Amino acid sequence: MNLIDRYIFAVQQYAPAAQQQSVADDLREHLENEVDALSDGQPTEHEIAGLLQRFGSPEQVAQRYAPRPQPVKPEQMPKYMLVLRYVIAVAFGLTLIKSYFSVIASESFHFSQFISQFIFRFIDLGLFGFAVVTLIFWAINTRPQPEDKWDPHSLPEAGRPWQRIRLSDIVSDIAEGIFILLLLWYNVWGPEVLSSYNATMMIAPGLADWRIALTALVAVAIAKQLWLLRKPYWTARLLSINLLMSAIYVVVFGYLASLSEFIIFGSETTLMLSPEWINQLIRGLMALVAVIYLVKMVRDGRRLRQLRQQQ
Amino acid sequence: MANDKFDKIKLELRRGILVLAVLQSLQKPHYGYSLRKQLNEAGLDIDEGTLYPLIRRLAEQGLLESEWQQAEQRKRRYYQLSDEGRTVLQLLVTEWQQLNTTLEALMETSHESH
Repeated sequence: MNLIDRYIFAVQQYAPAAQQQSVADDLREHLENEVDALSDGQPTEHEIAGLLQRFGSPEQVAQRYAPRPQPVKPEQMPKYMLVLRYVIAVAFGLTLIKSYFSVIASESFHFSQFISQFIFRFIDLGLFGFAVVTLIFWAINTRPQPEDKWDPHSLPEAGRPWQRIRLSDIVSDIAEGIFILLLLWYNVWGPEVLSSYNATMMIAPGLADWRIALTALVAVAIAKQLWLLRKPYWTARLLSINLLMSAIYVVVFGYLASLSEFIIFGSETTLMLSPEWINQLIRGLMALVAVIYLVKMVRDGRRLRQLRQQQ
Repeated sequence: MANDKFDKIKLELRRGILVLAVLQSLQKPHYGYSLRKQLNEAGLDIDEGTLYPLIRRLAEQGLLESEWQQAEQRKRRYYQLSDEGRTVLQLLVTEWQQLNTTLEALMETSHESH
């Protein structure tokens, strides 16, 4: 098999199946004419190799002949990478939780076994997340895109750098909200999961009383973040709403931090940390959330003043 | 460093006018190699891996038509502008001339201001 045949075959492998033959025919014709022009049609192998090198690598030539559609367009790459980072982070968190329950359910703990299980589960879930995200972007790309029409009047009334809300902030707030909802409604999904690990736990009555109110609050917060995806800019009105919501969060989480018990563990549950410690940890977490929202209130108050002075 | 940047911009500039050069040359029939030779002799050095896929794309778009002809040793596919290709070429040439005039005026203005 000579170099030209090998080259054409290699190019064919990179071309889409439907076009492989026509690309090969086209390429062969041009190559034969080029060879005819080399050393009166009797080129050395070295000359042929030089000619093929000038044509370009098989992958490059196939791409030029029949460009393959890319699953993610270059202009969508930053958004794709951001979503992918979050999906990988969620996969990491879920794997960690799953591995933790495996440990508490098993009779003995082997560090190397824990690490290897964790790595394989993480790769498994991470690859699944990667495939799903890529498929979604690919599906969006294959849809005919509407013409890019926009109205200058729809430009945000913003001029200060802090007014632009970063996409990563919006996504992390949504993820935070979903996480709180999952914790609050643990009784819907948790017992079944935990029973497979021979463990039980339930939300303490003190926290359960607040569940509906907290759910409504978190749902409003998630809805607000979803709305922000359309126009991610702080305005005076949005800051006022945010101030109000932060104030409610401060009161609610401040109160929750004063409770003594959040989760009641079943007697057969074996934990690495004692139930008292876990409840202490949650109380600390509630207090921290209240403080964070207090800081946010101060920040939003200052920003609101700046915007009002500007008007 | 400056040469690297120049080479990159030069490549982009040449890529932009390649279609115009190919369409202009194919007012007369050519097969792939003879077209490349003609462009080379005219001073437009274009590598094989770029030119031949471009000819195929233009033919697929209906701007070129092709015909097999028997040469000394083998059959060769000759390409020539189609009617649609001729119309597109005329528009492109007008566009090119306008751009050229604009650029010359710009260069003259900046030359005078120095």
